[in-house]
Amino acid sequence: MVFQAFNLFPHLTVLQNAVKAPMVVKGLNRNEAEERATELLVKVGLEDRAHYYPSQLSGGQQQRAAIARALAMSPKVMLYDEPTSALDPSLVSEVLQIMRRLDDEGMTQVVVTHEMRFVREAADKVIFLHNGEIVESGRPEELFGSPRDERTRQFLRNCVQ
Amino acid sequence: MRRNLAVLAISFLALVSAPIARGDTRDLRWGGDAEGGAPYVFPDPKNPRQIVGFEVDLASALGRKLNRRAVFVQNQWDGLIPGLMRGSYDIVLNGLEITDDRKREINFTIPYFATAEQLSVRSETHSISSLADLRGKTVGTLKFSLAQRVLEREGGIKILTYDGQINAYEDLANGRLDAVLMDWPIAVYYSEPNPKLRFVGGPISQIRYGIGVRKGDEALLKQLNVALTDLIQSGELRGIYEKWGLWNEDTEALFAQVGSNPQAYEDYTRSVTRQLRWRDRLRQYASYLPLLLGQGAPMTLAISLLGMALAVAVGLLLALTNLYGPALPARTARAFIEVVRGTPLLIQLYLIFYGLPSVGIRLSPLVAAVMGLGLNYAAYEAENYRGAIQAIPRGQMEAALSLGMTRAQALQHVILPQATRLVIPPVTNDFIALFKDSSIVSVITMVELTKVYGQLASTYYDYIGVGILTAAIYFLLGLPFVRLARWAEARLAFDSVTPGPLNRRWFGVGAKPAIR
Repeated sequence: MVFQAFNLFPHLTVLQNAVKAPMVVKGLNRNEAEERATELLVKVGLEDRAHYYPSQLSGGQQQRAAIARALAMSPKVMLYDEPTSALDPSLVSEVLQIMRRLDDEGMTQVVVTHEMRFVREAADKVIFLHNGEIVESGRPEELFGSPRDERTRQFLRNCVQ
Repeated sequence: MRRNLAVLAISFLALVSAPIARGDTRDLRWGGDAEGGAPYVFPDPKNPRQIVGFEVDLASALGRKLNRRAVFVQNQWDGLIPGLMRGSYDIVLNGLEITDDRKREINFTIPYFATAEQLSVRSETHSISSLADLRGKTVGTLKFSLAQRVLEREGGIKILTYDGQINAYEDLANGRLDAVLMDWPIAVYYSEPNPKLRFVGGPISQIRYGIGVRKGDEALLKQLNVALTDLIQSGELRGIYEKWGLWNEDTEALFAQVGSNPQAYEDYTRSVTRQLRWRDRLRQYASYLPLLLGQGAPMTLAISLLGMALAVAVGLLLALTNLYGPALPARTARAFIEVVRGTPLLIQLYLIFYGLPSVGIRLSPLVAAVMGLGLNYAAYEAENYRGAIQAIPRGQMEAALSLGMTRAQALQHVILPQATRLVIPPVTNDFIALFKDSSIVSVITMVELTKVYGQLASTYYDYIGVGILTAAIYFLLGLPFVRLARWAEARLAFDSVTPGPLNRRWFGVGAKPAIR
């Protein structure tokens, strides 16, 4: 699970954030956990920030650290709750890149987002929600190309502007 | 003689009568402590608004002789001499033993009563029959009393000192003490009527009560001596003692001397003024240090550290139960916090020390002191923790749960480490408050820093010098803990906005300089 506000543990370094749950929940020893966490930090491009505290990182770096932390538990599915909406526009792409790469590796990812370009390019299935209800769903080319519902059309018009 | 009352007893009568009495010297204002108990000066059980006692009768008789109205002024017993010097009253007439220390401060009349210390034990105790048998035993007496000094001089005795005789004799009866040593008149009134107790041994030491008069009030001193001599020779004073059942051989011998040769008692009235030079004074202060630092300070530290450890542990338990426990335990924890915070520590200590023995729980003074302080402060610590835990953003718990941790694991690894830093300032505050509040445990016979101060100050009548010395010791003892807390706080400062090498923080994992 990846949160809008990152929710990293501020009293732990990036590396410690990524080893805490595997050690506590899965009972890995520190060496095993750190080895795995370091691999993940390399994957999200934070290997040189392993010993930094969250407060010393940019928003994009923090969100990438949060992704590494979630991956450390080897989840079957990754959930993202508006992962980029708290980020400076210039930092959004570094997070999306990571998510793309995970997609390429075959990770199932459920993302709540307003990043329409990213959705269009990366998603296998899109669900459009309005007031907590599913308005319509389908493959991105269907939904973006020929939306059936008026509300979807309205939303996409606003996004384009 | 007797106790100091932990509760500050400011004289109601003195406040009311002082402005009038200052102008009207006709009243003979005499200071005493009516909370000291029978048979000296005490509220009449039949009419508590009226004070009675052999000293009340003596004061009236003296007033008649001097043709002045005797007016009683209430004052805490161990503050009687400072009160006299302040001018709250004209004389002190309340079982004040004539001692050299006191003669340095005030003048004494000829003695009006002679007696000795009396040893009491439980009726079934047969191993104690004299002072010498007390070695290795636990003996109770009143704070700042001659009896306390007699016991200290004897050595090898575990002495517990009390504010009131009733508590001491109760503790003797319930087995916390092996013996009690007190002025004979007190023993006659509080020990002898108790079938569980009995007197052993003969008179110990020699006590002579005199009336205290301010230095410089020589005319009043002379009038009082004449009046006392009259009362002794006319047999009126003997009548008073017989009425109170206090006529004894010591006083008979004393009065016989007065009758034959009143001149012999000039000794008592001739007080030697011994002004201390500043060098001697410094040497005197230096001589207090072993007592203050050797006896008082370690006990204060021990009580405070143990008490705080208990407070921190129990406080955490209370806070977690209150926040995360099932309904009933949570409500119980809440109730404990509210009740303990909302009632005076002094009363809690009395309940723990004097109340629990009646249900069969008899705690040693140290255990009672640590428990009293620890549980009291636990209530405050619990609220500190609750505040800190609730200050941690909800997202922290959500993140921990989303990673598969249980609530307990999340608390242990995520919430509490962050809360710890937040509670350091308030907990340090509380520790310093507890450190000073530990002075209150002297009411349950603990001899700690403030108690040693009280003993020294009341022995030498130097409340200012010894007071400053003691306050300085408290301050210096507390200082390292303040520094320790600052250091811990800095060490845990993980969310500092200043980037920089972090190897001094948290687990000290090797860090590189942060450049962004």
